[in-house]
Amino acid sequence: MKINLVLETQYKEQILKTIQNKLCYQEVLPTPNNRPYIVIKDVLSIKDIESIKENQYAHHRTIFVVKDSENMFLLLDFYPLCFLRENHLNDDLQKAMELIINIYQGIESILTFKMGYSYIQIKASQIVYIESIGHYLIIHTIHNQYQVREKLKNVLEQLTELSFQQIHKSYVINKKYVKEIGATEVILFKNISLPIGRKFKNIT
Amino acid sequence: MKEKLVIGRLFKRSFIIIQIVLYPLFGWIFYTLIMNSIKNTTFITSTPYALMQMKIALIVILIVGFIMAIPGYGTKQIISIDHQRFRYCSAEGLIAKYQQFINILFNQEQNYEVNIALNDIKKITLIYSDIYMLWSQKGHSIIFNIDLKDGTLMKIQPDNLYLDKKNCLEGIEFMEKCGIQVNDPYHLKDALRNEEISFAEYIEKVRKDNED
Repeated sequence: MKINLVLETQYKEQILKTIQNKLCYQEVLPTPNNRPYIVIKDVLSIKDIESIKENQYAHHRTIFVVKDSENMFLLLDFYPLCFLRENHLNDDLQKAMELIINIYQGIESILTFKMGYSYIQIKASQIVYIESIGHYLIIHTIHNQYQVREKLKNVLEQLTELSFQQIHKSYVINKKYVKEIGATEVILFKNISLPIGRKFKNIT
Repeated sequence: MKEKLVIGRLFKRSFIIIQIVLYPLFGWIFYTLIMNSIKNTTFITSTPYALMQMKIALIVILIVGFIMAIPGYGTKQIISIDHQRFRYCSAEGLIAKYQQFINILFNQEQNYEVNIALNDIKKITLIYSDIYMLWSQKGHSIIFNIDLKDGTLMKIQPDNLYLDKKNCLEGIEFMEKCGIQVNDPYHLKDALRNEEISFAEYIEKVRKDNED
């Protein structure tokens, strides 16, 4: 798949030089028809953040080139795909390319959740399972838990192309962490046992 | 060294119980005053069932008022740190506020939105932000930017923690004692430590210096 790339950065030459043999891309202008596309944009000062507010970028399509980690967290409001640190541009670019390839191969996805003023940006591959309780979702990763106010249906839409499967009206599992599938339950990583709903008996 | 430290304060259980006891008492006084003042009016005496309907309406208003007041006791944001985990309770949303109230009342553990292992935290960077408070007042909050080893990024912005500067500073220092790397590019810890200047004044000073 050829990725449409929008480059709004002073490091254009350096970026193109690094990615030219590793990523199949073409440089385009940012128009809604150019999909799938990735925008790489410089945000080196607070003034740059103000300018972003005027342009509405699609969620998880923008890679920001940042000066320091402080701006990185402020930019979570704009649902970025990932960040390139100015001082570690080449290293971060390698990781970003890997992420882009994984996303377009359907192996990875980035999820951003908002809770009041707080944001959590998490890689889908880190999620072991998602539990729905009332209006909330509890996202269980290998070591941590996050509770967000979101509908399971909306998150599932973002995870359909990945190795996630709904096994119960309240549970979505990442098949990567499945140890055993029984008739009525699924055993996950760390021997976590989750029930299989009657409607979801034919899980693979 | 302490086992656990909480930044921010929840309402005390005893305070909530006193409020619950006092509410019906004041409600009854309010009800009696209203009923005494209207029971001899022409409208009430001349309209059938008007007094009964008025009584029902007042009781419903008092009950609804009580139900609506409950979330006010569950609005506190806290960060709890022990030697294993970092937890954050934002009480965001009406259900979460009721939940926090019930948990305080029945002495239960709070529902934490973020529950992460300390070993997973790569670093925490402290920055500040403006927030708009009641009556269009400008306030400031400390933002905890958390960078996890697995690549997860988290921005936590509790809006009331800095009000108790000593408690907030103790919490940040406790994090450092637990082995978390805390970056403080704006020297917010100094602002919390400084008794002579308010947190808001310090932030305005930092902003002015940066603009210059």
